[in-house]
Amino acid sequence: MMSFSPVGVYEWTPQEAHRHHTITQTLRQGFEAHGFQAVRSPVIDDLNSLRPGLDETLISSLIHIHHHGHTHRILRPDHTTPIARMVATRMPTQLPLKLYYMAPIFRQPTHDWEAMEQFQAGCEWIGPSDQEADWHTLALCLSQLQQIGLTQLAVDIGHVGFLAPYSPQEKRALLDGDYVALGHLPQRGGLELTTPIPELGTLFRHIQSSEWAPCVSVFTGLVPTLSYYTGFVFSVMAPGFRAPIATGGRYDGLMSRFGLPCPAVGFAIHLNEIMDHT
Amino acid sequence: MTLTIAVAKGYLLDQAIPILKAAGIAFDATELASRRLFIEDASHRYRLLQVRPWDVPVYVAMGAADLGIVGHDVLVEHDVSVLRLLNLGFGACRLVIAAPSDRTAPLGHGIKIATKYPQATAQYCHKQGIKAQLINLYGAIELAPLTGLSDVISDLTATGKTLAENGLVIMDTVYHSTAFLIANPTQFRLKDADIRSMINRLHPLCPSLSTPSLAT
Repeated sequence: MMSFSPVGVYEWTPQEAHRHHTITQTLRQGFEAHGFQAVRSPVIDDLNSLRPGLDETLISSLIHIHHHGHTHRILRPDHTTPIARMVATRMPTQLPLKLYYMAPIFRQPTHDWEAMEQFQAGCEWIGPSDQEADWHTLALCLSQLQQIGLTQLAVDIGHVGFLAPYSPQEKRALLDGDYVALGHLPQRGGLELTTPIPELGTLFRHIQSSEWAPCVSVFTGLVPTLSYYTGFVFSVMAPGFRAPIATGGRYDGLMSRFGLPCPAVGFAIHLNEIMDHT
Repeated sequence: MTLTIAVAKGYLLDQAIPILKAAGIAFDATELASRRLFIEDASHRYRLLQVRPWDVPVYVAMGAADLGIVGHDVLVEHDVSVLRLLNLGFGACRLVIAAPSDRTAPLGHGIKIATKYPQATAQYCHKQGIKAQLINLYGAIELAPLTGLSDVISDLTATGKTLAENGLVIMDTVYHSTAFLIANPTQFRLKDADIRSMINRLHPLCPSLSTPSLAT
C-alpha cells in the first residue's frame, strides 16, 4: 500500500528544497539589504494570548491542537499578529523596527484546492506613519518579486477609505466581491480615483514617478478584509496565477491591541502560489 | 487577449448564446451542437467552455476560465471566491418549498425536506425557526414526497409545470434566481478593459431591471 503525506501540506525532495532555498535566499538578501532583520514567532501559539489581534475571519480559520492542559493551543494563523505582540511586549523601546520572516502559517482551508500550510515571506516596518514608508514598502515587495523572476506584475492599490461612502450592507457586498448587490462595478484607474483620499494620492504620485508606474492601478474595489488595516492596501497579481502572489498594507490599528499604540506597514509574499505555478 | 467563458450547459447556455451573439460574440451553431466542450467565436477573441452548472464556479475560482455564466442558485450553494459582475436577468427561476396537494399542515418541527439545495434550504428553515431534517438528493426531487422519502421538497422551478404534474403545490418561495456573470478576481485585473467592454455590450441586452448601472 502507498502512503502519502496529507494534501494541503508540503514535503520537499532535495530538488524541491533546493528550489525553495534559492528563492528564500534571494529574498533574505533583498530584505536585509534594506535593513530588515529576521525574526521568528512560535508555530504553536495560545488563542487567548493572540486573540486581541485576531479578527473573526482569522479565528474561524484557526487550526486547534489537542494539548494536555488548560490553555487553548493553536497553530499560528498569521505572522503579523505574533510579531506585533513580540514588539509590544519585548521591544517597545526599540522603535522604529524593520523585521522580516520566512515561514509557514496554518489555516483551515475552505476549499479542496487551498493549502493548509502556507509559506509566507514578509516584512513589517513598525514605527513610521508617512506615505514615504508606504511607498518604500510597496517598492521593496515589487523589486523582490522581480528578483525571484516574476515579471509582468499587475498591482492594484486600494484603501480602507473606499468603504466610507457605503452602508453596512454595501460594505459587505464590496468585501464579498458581489458587485451585483453593490449596484455598480468598482473602478480601476489612476490618480483621478484618489481624490477622496489625499494620502493615497501622495502614494500614487511616488509610484507614477517610478519604474513601476505602468503596472500599478488604483482599484476602488480593493479594501482590507482584516480590521487592523487602517490605510492603503495592495495586491500583486501576475499572469498564470489564480490568486494574488503578494498582499500588504498599512495597519496602524494592530499594535495598540497589544498595548503599544504605534503605526506600521508591511506585506507578505505568498510563496506557495509562486512555488506551485513556476 | 482571449477571454475564456465557462457557461452552464442546458437552458442557461441556450439563452446565453443569442444574447452573446447580439453583443458581438457569435459561436457557430454547428460547433455548439457538436459534442466539443471547447469552442471559439468567429473573432477568435472569446472561448466558450460548456460545463456542468455546478462546475462553473470551480472553473472560474481556479482561473481555468476568466468568466462564468451560471445561475445565482448555484452561487448560493457554492461559496467560492469569485466576483459577481452582472445580473444577466435571463434564466429566471425560483427555489420553492412544495408539498403534495393533500397536505394541509404547515411546515413544522422535524419536517423532512428533500432538496438539491441544502445551504439555501437550511438558511430558510433557520430564518423560519423550523428544525428540519434535510435529505440531500441529486435529481428527481419530486419523487421524494410521493414515495414517502420526505414530507415536502425544496426545489428550483421556472414554470411550476413539473411540480403540478407530480401533484405538488408551492407553499413558499425561498429565493428568486437569474443568471449571473462571474469573474476570477485576478483575471478581472489582468483583462480589465476586455471584460468591461464585454459587460458594456451585454448590459443593455439583459432583460432584468435590477442590473447594476455601470461606472467605467
